[in-house]
Amino acid sequence: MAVVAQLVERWLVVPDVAGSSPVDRPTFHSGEGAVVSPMVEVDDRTELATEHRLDQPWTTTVWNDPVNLMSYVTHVFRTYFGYTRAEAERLMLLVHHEGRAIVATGPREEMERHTEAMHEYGLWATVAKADA
Amino acid sequence: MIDITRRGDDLVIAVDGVEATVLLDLVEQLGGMLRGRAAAVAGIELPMTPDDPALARLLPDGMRDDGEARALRALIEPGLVSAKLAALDAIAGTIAAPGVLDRDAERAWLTGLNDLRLTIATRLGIEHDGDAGRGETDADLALREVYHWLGMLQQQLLDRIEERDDATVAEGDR
Repeated sequence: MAVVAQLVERWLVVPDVAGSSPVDRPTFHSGEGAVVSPMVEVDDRTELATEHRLDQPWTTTVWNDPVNLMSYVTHVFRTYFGYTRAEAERLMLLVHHEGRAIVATGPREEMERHTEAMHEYGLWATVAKADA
Repeated sequence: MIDITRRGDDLVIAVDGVEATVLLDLVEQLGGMLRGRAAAVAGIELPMTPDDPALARLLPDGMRDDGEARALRALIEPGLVSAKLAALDAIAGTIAAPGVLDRDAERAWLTGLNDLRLTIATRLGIEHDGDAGRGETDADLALREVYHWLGMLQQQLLDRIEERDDATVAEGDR
């Protein structure tokens, strides 16, 4: 670790600008179908249709990423949302395999709070209107 | 050396040596990045997504539409930056005075380690599941080693938390 300590000195504060490409940034590209780097391509309609509720038209979606440990994502779903272990693992696997999962549905303000909380945990989440 | 053990309901963390030095250095660097971002957007009504991809991953857009994303960012980014800085401060506090982790410190370690991993992964160019990242220089290899080490540390913490919570549930059942 002593060697490592010397080698990583000041690595965090100097962005690798030359090596950065647009896909490094979590940006959304709209068009036909939603292509979301580094996530997989997903079909908007199928999943949203099953979760659609007229009285609570907003959702919080958590997106897959290659960094967050599966055990950590499950832990966050259990502790923050209070989901059972089985439900938390189901949602975590949905994120992992499908690229994303709707983790909450309800009023807009509440979904924004959930999104902020997910970002605080380091999970990448977005708010959307359920029929958007 | 950094080691996390369980003593009854308490998680106890031992931190010393070079690993403590490395972790503290990382914590300070990330803290500097976040404080820099806060200073850069101070007074801006509708801040943009950060240019630095690591900061853009830590403080991501919360909506798909650019305009709505900026409005939401204005609402949540200040609190988000404060929470992340507080977690890093708590880790630094534990390094200065190791021992029993209370629940707040436990969460701070989990989220702080995660933010460091997200930052390093961005620097390494890790973009897909199973992606080892790019770069073969000594510095890249060292960074990759640090990335895996932080992952093991975070997993160790998660394992101890789960053991403790399972034991607590079993206790309650008796």
